[in-house]
Amino acid sequence: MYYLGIDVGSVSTDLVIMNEKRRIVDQLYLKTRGTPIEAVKEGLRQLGKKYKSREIDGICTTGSGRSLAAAVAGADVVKNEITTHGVAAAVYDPEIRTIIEIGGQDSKIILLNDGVIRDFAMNTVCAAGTGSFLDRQAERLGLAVQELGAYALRAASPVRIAGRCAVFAESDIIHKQQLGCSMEDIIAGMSKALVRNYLSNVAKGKEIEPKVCFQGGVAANEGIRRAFEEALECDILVPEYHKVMGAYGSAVIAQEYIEEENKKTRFKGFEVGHDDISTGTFECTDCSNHCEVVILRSKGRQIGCFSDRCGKYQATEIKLPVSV
Amino acid sequence: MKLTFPHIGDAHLVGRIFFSELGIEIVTPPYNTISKLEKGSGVSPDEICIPFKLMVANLMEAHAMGADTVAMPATMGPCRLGEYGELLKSILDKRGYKFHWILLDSSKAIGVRELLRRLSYLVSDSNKGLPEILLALNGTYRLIKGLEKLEQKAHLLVGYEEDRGACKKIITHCRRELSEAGSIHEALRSIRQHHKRLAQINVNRDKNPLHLLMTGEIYSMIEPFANHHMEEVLMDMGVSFEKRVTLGWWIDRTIVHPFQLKKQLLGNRYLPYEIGGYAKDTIAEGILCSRKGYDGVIQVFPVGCMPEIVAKAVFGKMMKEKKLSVLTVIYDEMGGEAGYITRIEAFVDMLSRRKRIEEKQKYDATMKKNRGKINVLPGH
Repeated sequence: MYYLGIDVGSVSTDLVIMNEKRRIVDQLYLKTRGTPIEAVKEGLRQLGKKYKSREIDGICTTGSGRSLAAAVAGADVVKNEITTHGVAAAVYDPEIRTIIEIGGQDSKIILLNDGVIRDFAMNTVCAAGTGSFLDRQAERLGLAVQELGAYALRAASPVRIAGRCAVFAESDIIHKQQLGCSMEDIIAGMSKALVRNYLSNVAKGKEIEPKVCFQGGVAANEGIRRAFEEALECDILVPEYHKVMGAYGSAVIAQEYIEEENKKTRFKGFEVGHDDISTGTFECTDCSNHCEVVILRSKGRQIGCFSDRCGKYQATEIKLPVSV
Repeated sequence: MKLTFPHIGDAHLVGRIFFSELGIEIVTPPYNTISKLEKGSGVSPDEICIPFKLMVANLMEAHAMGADTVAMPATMGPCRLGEYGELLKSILDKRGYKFHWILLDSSKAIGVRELLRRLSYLVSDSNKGLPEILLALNGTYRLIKGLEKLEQKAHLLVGYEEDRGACKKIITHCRRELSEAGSIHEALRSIRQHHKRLAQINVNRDKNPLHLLMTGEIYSMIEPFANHHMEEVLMDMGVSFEKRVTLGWWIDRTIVHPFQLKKQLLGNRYLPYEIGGYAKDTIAEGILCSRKGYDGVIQVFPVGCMPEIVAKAVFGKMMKEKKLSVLTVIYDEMGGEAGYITRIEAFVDMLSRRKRIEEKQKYDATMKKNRGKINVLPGH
């Protein structure tokens, strides 16, 4: 019997299948590419080739596209990514006290105490120092984002890059390039800048205690990990499944929920991957809020609805204004 | 004279009732939306905060609707060195939006005589005498206070309600009735009725919901659009919370009894100086929160609000010393809400999980203490 966790992030959509002993039996790491519904469907299709729908006992979705994924797949629980990352790390190694998580759009620090989240912080409005910044710089330097780590490790004397803001950092990088600094030194300097920015911004005022665990997509970058180790002067653990920790945590939460509440799953089955799902948007003019309502439809039926403040479009299918 | 003023929370509801009581025509600009914000940021300086951009947009729309006079409580001093109202005026003047401006600065800045002169201009179109105006003012003050009391009660009861959404429904209904009320008396009656209704909802006293305090920059606190309707988000989550920074609070603080409230702020060792804005008040609220055993604080402010940035840094220290949990939510022009909701949800999740564990420990401890006595039940 398995539990399914889906993490729909800005950059990647991850799916994890976990058995009842909380071991990952299968994992998928797909690019979201701005189309979360397609990514979830693709994931379900791929997993559907190996597993049967009735083998899934519970499902939980997380990530910024969690409610969308929940509507598509029929989730039992919908949880925010901070809780799922915390749970995943606590299950992976109960001794972990600090989690550094850097994803595509946001970076967070989560402090654990006996496996319970004690405190957390997230980057505020700016996405400087996250995965998308690295992506962009790799593209500009003509490298794949996976190569950055190896380049950083080869650096002899990293240059100093301003890491406060992505725009400043970029112009600083260009400037250093034109001075003739080597690619390796620049990339190492960029990694250091990212770490400095993280520690002075996201982790400001937080006590970082070992064991420190580094997860999220950026954890694959060896150079950043090294920079963190140097800055924090302690070993940093990168879990084997660091990319899919959010999905893993949500699978654990799905199991907890199903076992505690003794419920049957609402999972719609892997067949959903072949369904045609369409979205429609319209501005509701019934009250002063003017919500931009998004409606999700499959096979002519409404399967989900978002951003209506009053919640009146949620329950049943209703007649929509003509303009849709 | 067609009077208008920018949106801030429910000010347009009570303002409309007050001025119609005096027979002054008033224009209410359309509600704040993303497209209005875009319009406002098109003409404002780039670095300025969201409240300013929204206010500019409000006044531009009001101009299109025929307004010719603006009443603007500028409260010289606290924010942007008192240039707020002046900057608004200068930007709109340059763009050809001709208004007659009534900048209601504090008497300390412009003198009592000047303030009275400006106030008298505000009501110069009215055919009512001074006693009637004072009566209407008193009624409006009671109206604001009554509405806020209703909201405050609903915010606390929401954690205990049996039928999800009952409290929210009553507030929404009350607002709708106020927007249609013809006189102050009608409005006051409506508020009284809703107070009664709120007292009758089904509550479960055995519940133990989270108890949070919402604080921060004043405009973001009062105008729901500027905090992405955070109150409604919290109410949907079933969290009891308190919000002290309101329109009525501001009136009390600046007009009715400025000294009484100021006194509460003394003896604040974290931020002994006035640094502008309402930073000191925010810190004072944080201290109150740790003293009264709230579960956490949510601090709200727009990007670039200097006083609140200082308050945020002070909260960092207080979090360590007083075991306070603070979530800082900073709003800017981004329309997407997923990020904000994630942060609030995670904060609520963390606090409720922690609360559950603490309660369990307390329960276990009492069970342990009473282990010997467990069989000594009455009748045995």
